Amino acid sequence: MSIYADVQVTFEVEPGRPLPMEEPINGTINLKPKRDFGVDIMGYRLILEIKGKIQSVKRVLLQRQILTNTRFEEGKEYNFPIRIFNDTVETYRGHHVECLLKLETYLNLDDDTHQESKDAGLKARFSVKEMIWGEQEEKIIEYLEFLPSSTVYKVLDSKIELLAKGQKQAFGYGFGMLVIMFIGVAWGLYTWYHGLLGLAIALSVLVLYHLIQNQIIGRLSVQLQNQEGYFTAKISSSTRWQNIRNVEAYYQIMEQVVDKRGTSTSTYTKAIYKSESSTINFPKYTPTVKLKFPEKKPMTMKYGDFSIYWELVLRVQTSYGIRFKYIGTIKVGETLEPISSINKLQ
Amino acid sequence: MKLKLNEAGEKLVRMEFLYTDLPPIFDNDPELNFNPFGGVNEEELQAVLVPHVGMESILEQIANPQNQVIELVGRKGRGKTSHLRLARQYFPHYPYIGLHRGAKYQEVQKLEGDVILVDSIHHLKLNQRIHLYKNRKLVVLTTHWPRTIEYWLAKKRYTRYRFRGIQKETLKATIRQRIQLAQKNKREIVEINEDVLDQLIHRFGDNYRGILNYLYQQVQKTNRG
Repeated sequence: MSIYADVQVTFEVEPGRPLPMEEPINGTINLKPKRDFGVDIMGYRLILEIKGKIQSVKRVLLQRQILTNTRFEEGKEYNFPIRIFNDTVETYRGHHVECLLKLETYLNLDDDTHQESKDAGLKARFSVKEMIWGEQEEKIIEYLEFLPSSTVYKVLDSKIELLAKGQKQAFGYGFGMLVIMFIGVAWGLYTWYHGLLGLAIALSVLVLYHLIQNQIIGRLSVQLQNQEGYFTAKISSSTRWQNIRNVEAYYQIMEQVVDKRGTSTSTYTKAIYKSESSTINFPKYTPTVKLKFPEKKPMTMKYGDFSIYWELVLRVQTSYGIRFKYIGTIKVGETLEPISSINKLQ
Repeated sequence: MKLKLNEAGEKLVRMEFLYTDLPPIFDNDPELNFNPFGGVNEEELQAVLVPHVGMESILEQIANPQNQVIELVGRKGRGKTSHLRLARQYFPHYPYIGLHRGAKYQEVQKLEGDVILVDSIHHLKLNQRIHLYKNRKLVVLTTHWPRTIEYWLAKKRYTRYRFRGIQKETLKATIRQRIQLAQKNKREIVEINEDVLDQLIHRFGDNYRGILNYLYQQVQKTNRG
């Protein structure tokens, strides 16, 4: 909302539909001055803004100048054709973060207009920049919804090593048991003999856990291959699947936000999608699973402290019934880097 | 024994209170462009920050730099960094650095000038901090704990601004300004639920960021159904 003009932006798309990401979109900025005013420059910017439990990130994807040194008259109506293009990132509303796209129409007011506004006290509040540094830019913001018409996923053909999960927890439980035993002995609840016995049991459990993991399952790696509508994961085990009852495979899309606002840091991770799982009973050699791509979910991306990543999860059950979880990161689509959409418009 | 049971009962009631969802903060349901309770960029900061610690005094001291440390001290989430960021907007010619774990002192040393604004000074080592105090005329910093001994070691005067306590009106103004920034229709008046405000203060104390994070999650949940 501006005190100088009513500004409306319209695009040549069906009303209520999100803007497509595959092609440039034509539109119009309609400006109706509320009073006479002059500008040094008028233009528009397409801005990506990432907000949420995160230090806000702002990136200009496209900037175009419309005119210079122009005076607008109250009562008249002005229309300016515009053209935007965004294949960088879609509008995303996640759990801890939002990716927003907005069109900023900017009016760099001329000195006379700025002075008139100040003298007449037209603006209730001047920003720090305006007050101290004399910045004279008026912005009118329109939030836009971008969505790709169809998403073509592409898993990077690659070999990935999977890492065992749960080791930290096992260590944590073991350490917790040791602390409890130590306190028990110190308070006289147990004798040192009991304490040592407990210590031996805790250590044995930890060693056994590692032995089972290393000797029975061994190292797991996966060869990924992209296909149309799905991808395959060929799984290899360094122990050739001896004593393995089954392997369940699925992938999940994770949203991660590292909140570095203020004097402390917190990390928030949330699975935003979990695929259907595929199970192989009594696997042999290099079993292959087929995993279907989702519909309209974000690909791998990273912007500052916000990232979306896909991870392949294998749940391996031994013949003794013990389950282990292995995880590896898979890269889908292109990792988004700042791009110059302007080039694509030229 | 009876007394212990009562205490346990009270504890349970309090636990239930802590983990029960609060009613929405808005009495009406404004249309929003984005979740108002997330991080703000530099442009939005001035519009949403309601200074609750002597901001004018801090700005005055930076404008007339004396040989001293200005310490903004308080627990996390109390608004120290936001106040420092706002101060930076008034003095963009003075270097500002936000430190994180593993920060390198060389990065701080690279910044020139007699006056420096440092967020999270605790990420530097003790000798580095003392070196910094000694080698700059004015250091404006944020910290979780008062560092009186360090200033004494560096033979430096200091002015301390404590970030603690919360005023319901300040919280209300903060929430109102954030909502206004995110609202689609700026003219629509949003009613803030006073009871929820009281309960937020009861639950989170003066942890502004804790409150905002809670409200962020509440709005996300509502928007996502």
